[in-house]
Amino acid sequence: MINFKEIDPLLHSRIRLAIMSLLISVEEVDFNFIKESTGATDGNLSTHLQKLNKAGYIEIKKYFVDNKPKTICKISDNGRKAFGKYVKVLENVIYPKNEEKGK
Amino acid sequence: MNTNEQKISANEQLLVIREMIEKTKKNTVDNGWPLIMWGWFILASCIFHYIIIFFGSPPLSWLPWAIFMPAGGIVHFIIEFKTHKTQKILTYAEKSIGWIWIGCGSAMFIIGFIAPASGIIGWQAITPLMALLAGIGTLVTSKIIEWKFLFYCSMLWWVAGIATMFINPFYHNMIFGGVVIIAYLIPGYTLRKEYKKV
Repeated sequence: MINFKEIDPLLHSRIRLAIMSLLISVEEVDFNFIKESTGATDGNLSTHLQKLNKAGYIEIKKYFVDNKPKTICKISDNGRKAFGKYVKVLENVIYPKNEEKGK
Repeated sequence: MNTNEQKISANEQLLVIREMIEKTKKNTVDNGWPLIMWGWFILASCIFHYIIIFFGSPPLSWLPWAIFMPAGGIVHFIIEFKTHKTQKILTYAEKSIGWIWIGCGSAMFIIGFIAPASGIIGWQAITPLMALLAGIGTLVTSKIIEWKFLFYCSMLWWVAGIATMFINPFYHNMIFGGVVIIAYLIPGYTLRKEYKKV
C-alpha cells in the first residue's frame, strides 16, 4: 500500500519538481536558465523558488553583474534528501511490486 | 488551472524529471577553451625555448616558460572569473575538472619553478614530471566527461613522461610541444566544435 502522506506536497507540483530536477544534477543554476527550462514566468518562478527556499530545499544567492541583478539557485542537503525520498515514493507508486518485494 | 499548484500523475512526474535532467546535459558540453589556451601558451614556450637556444643564449632558454606560464595563469583566471560571473549553469563535472586542474597546475608550478630553484631536482627532471602531471589531469578529465580520445591522450602524456626520462634533454621540449598539439589542442578544438553544434 502506498502511504500518500509520504508524498511531499511541496514537490508535488510540476514547476517545483522541474526546478528540483534541474538543481539535483548540477552545482548551481541561474534564474534565467530555470525560467527557460521550465517555461515559467518571472513572477511565477519567483514564488516557487521562495517556497522551496523557505522549506530549506534550495539556497538562493543574489548579486549584481555589470549592474544587472543575477540570481543563482543551489539545492541544499535537505532538498537533496527530500528529492530522493520523493523519487522513491514515486517509484513505489509506479512499480508497486518493488515495494512488496522489499518487505 | 492554478499555475502555482499544478498537480500531475506519477508518470508525468517521471517525465518532468527526465526532461529537466536532459536539459542540463545539453547545456554542459565543455567548449574546451582551457585546453586550447594552455595548448597555445605551452607550444609558444616550447618554440621560443628553441629560438633562444638557436640564437645563442641557451642559459636563458627557461625565460619563455617563466613568461608564458604565469601569463597563462593570469589569462586563465580572468577568463574563468568572467565566465563564472555570466554562466547560467555550473555542473559537478565542471567543478571537479576545475579542481583537479588547480591541483595539477599548482604541482606543475612547484615542480617547474620552486623545486629546481631549491636544487632538490635537476632541470632535466622537469619535463618528465610535467608530462606525468598533465597525464593525471587529462586522465581524470577523460573519465569525468567520458571521452575515450582524451583517455588515450592521457596515456600519451605518460608515454612522453617515461620517454623523456631516457631521451637527451635537448629534445624534451620538442616532444612536449608535439604531445601538446595532440593531447591539448586537438581535443580542445574538437570540444569547441561539438559545443558549437549544441
